[in-house]
Amino acid sequence: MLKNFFPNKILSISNKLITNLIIAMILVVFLGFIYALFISPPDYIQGDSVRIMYVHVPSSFIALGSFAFIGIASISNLIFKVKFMPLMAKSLAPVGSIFTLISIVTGSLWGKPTWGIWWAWDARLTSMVILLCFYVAYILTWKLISSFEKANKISSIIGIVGLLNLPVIKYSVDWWSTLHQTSSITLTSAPTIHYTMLVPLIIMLVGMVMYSLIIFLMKYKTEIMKFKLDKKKNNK
Amino acid sequence: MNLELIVLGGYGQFVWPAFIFSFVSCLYLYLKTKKELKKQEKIFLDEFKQFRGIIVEALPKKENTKKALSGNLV
Repeated sequence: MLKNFFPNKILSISNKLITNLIIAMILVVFLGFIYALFISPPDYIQGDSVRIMYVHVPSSFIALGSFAFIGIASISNLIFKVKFMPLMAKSLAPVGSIFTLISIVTGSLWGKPTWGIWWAWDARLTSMVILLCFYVAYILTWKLISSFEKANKISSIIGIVGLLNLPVIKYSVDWWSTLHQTSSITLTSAPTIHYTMLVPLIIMLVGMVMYSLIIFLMKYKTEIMKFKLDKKKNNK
Repeated sequence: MNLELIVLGGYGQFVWPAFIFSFVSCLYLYLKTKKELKKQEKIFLDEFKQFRGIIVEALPKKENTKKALSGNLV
């Protein structure tokens, strides 16, 4: 499977494939929006404010998943010297950072009607802000350091250190007393939410994962081309 | 028009901004990434078109060397 992400394979991906993916993604997201905003029922306690969940939860999943990949890619890059891993990680950072921001902002918008405040420095919210800081540091390292080798090393260290923050985010609601509720969906047990809410949540998650894949492919293609051009310039 | 769809039981002021913010952020990132890709594709094609030209010119020479080394010239 990893072979599909080799630079030459990615370069051969036509823009037509990306366009087809975009069309499919628009259809899924549109269906998700209709379901989330109009078809799914309001919560018996939170009322219609629960609809924010359909953008907040998938965004958080992608934000965490993207950084988990960046962290693992950083380890494999530093230890096993897999050459295209830094380019893959670098390409995933923008989409991860935007979803972290969406998660924080939509969480704040959900917090006001639910908790009565826009923001609290509790463990879950603070650890998400720290994740955003790691994303910003990771992106800035690549932007500000011109030497590929140097930027690669520093960004990998950021990726590995940032990886340690992920369990803190995940278990913050269990370890500390927080305003944030505990997880309703986990990988190890059955979801505790009703299927009428689970279906739109899954549709939105699929749509957002497709969006992330599209942005990743576009960005990865750009980075490979940049890398090849730099290599050619350096060989001259 | 059904106003309830906009008001959403009094929570519309929180729900709609959440969806709009998510949509606008995603659209912004998509447009930025697309612009960057198009720009890079143009530079890459310009640069590697010249490079391909060199390969095409170099190929016959390579073939000649191959023939010479194969010993089947006669």
